[in-house]
Amino acid sequence: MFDAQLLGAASERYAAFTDATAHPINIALNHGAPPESTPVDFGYEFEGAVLRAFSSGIRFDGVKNQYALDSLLRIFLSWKLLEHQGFLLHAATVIRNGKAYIFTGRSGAGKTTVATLSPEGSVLTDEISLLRREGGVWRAYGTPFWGEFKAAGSNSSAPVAGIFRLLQAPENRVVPLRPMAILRTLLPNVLFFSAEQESTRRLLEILSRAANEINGYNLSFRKNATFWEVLPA
Amino acid sequence: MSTPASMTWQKNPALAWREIDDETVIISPNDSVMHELNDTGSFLWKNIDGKKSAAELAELLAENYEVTPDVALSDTQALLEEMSSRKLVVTVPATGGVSP
Repeated sequence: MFDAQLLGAASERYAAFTDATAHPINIALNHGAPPESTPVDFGYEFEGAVLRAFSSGIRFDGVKNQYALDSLLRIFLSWKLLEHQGFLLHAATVIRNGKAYIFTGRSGAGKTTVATLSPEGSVLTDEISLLRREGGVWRAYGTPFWGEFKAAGSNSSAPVAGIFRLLQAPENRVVPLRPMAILRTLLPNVLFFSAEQESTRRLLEILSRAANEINGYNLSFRKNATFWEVLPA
Repeated sequence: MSTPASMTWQKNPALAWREIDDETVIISPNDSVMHELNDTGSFLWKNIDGKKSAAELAELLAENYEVTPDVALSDTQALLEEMSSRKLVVTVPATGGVSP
């Protein structure tokens, strides 16, 4: 099956994220099954669409729409990041003074509100943030996975200033969190799909490291831009 | 009914866990359920090695937390039962016998 419309939409959506690496991953979309002898590194099925990752690239088969492709790409990325000290987090990321402020919380906590209240061009993502430890420094990246904000994805990164757990309140206030509380904040908001033990261990190791090395806070905030005044520089 | 104090315990080998701030987070990969252990629970968890019985774990608890042996044993058994009900720990079958 070849779907020119789906391919065109996907190419446009992910264009900013396809050319920035020295080792690009080959992606085949709805080209039929690969030879059965090819060993699969990772596989996942979502609503009839199948993702298979090989050493030579990844294949998506049975993908009927952009939504399914987007979901499978998130799943693939969450798995791939395990070997790169990284993870995907339900969070909005905003760049301020060259640093990434990460705002996490469940649906309705205010991620999109924060993105909307931030200056144009400063929002890396309003929905799915990518955090990765590189050379001893945690950096946040934009992803093509956007929520209600619906702006174009930004393929850029910045060192992490802190992770802020959003709590809507009548006044703005930040309270520092201990590493255990940061881990407790991260876990329910991390995107992860593998039921495999070794992958889960690896993820927990990465998250524990993040909880120990990244400053984390509870952020009570009013639904206006004044919350920036209480954030640590 | 509680498990005999002489029974030895091991961690459920299917789990992933990490210790932070003297507390332990345990994740069950099959159902993505997260469990947390407090200070005392973490102490026991660290010492559950497939070789120690509840009585031996209670001795360690008494030495480290300044509680009487009786209190340590009842606390240990209660914690092991709780962890067992959450499938975090399992008893080690006696060699040549069948676990009750």
